[in-house]
Amino acid sequence: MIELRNVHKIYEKSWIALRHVDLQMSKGEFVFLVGPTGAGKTTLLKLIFMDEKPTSGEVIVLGHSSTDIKSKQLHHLRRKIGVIFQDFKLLNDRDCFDNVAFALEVTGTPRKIIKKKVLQVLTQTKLSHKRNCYPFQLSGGEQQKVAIARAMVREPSILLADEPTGNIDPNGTEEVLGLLRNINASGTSVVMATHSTALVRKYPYRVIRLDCGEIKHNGLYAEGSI
Amino acid sequence: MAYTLREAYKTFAKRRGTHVAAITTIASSLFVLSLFALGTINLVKIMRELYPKMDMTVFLKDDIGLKERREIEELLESSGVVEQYQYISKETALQEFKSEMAESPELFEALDINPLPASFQVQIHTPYQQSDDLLKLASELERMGGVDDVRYRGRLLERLQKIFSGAVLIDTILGISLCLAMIYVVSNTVGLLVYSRRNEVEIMKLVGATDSFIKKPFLIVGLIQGALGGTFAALLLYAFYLIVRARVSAVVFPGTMLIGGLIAFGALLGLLGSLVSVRKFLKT
Repeated sequence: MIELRNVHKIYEKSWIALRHVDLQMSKGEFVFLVGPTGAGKTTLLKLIFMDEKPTSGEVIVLGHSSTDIKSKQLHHLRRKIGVIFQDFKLLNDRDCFDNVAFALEVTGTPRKIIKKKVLQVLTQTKLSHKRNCYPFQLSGGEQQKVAIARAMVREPSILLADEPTGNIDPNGTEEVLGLLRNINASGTSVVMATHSTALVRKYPYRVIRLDCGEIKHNGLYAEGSI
Repeated sequence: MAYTLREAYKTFAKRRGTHVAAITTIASSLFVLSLFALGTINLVKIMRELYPKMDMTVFLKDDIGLKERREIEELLESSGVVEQYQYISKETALQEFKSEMAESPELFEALDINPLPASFQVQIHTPYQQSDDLLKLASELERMGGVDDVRYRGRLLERLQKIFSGAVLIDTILGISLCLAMIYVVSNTVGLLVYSRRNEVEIMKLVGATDSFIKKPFLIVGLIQGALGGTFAALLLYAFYLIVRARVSAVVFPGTMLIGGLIAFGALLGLLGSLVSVRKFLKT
């Protein structure tokens, strides 16, 4: 489903973000991506949704290869991938419903289907009662749930979460994790970048630890592995 | 489509001051451009009216001899640009003048000599009315001994031709400069709008919107800006025409062509300007 073959990523001024990364992720897997700030976690996620291209090596996601995908074809891949961020990236001039609906509107989904799907996903994320609230009227945890709902509504094959619990309180964190696990249980692969060792310890998922752009650990959590 | 139009409206409703500035710039630039175009159109009209009146008159000296007259006739016949010619003697010229001034016979009572010169009335072949051959013939005639003066409208037409060429050159230079300026203004205006909605554009790209889907609302905004600018320019031009017509009734104003053209051209420039800006933004 996701494969990185000897991926090397160098940004401007010779700053190396990833060094010779080889990685495979299967369908339906839940993977934690850990490591200190600047280790390359976000770069790795960006390579997966092809917001960045590797300097060398190849990234293959859902059959699309970074070596031959054209920028005009990117939307085909992006429609199968959901992405959530630490800063939520919600539109402040739209309420919850419209923020979620936005993901379907831009892909030309008919209005009737949008309404049905959005209400359904807002119910799943326990946000239906706040559908008319604007982002600034919600807590951090609730805003992240809206972002998750926006990613979920398109029923993606892969969900990428870049430190989704970084800006929310412990209760919110548990709720967000619960939602991500539910999405994963329905067959969606989840890759979650996090700084939280508590979460990694708590859940029995594969852990990939990056440090200075290199994979230092790739397997289940073990004491001293992260 | 409904989504695109709704987003275009939202984009247009934001930053009204910026839109007003862009529309004003487009309107004033197109107005200046259309003034020059209107001037050129009227110049063409004057030139067209002059073409059929292209006869030449060769005035002869009073002391011209028969031999010199014959030489002039030979030159007219051999030039190839003359369709026909007629000799008007001093007497015939006076008779014609008298019949033209029949209402004032007292003018001729005190006249003891004939002041009018003999002449050749020359009719030129239509294809040669603007040609260098005609100029050559006029120069050769002027150099001949018995010729006093050569008059023909080609000289005026020649001057008009030069003015016309200059006007077309100014139209072209001004047109290109103003078009580039208008594209620049629209691209900056739309650039500001795109930038103000950069989060939305970023999220659109993230959730799989195509580039054309992202571009459409901004292109519509550019198109509307340009079309409105063109409309105001057309209104200004029409007002200008009404003022000029009150003084010069013969002025030509191809209304439908100019007004339609200004609106369509404005819209096209607006579209181009916004396309430049959105493409640049999406590439980064």
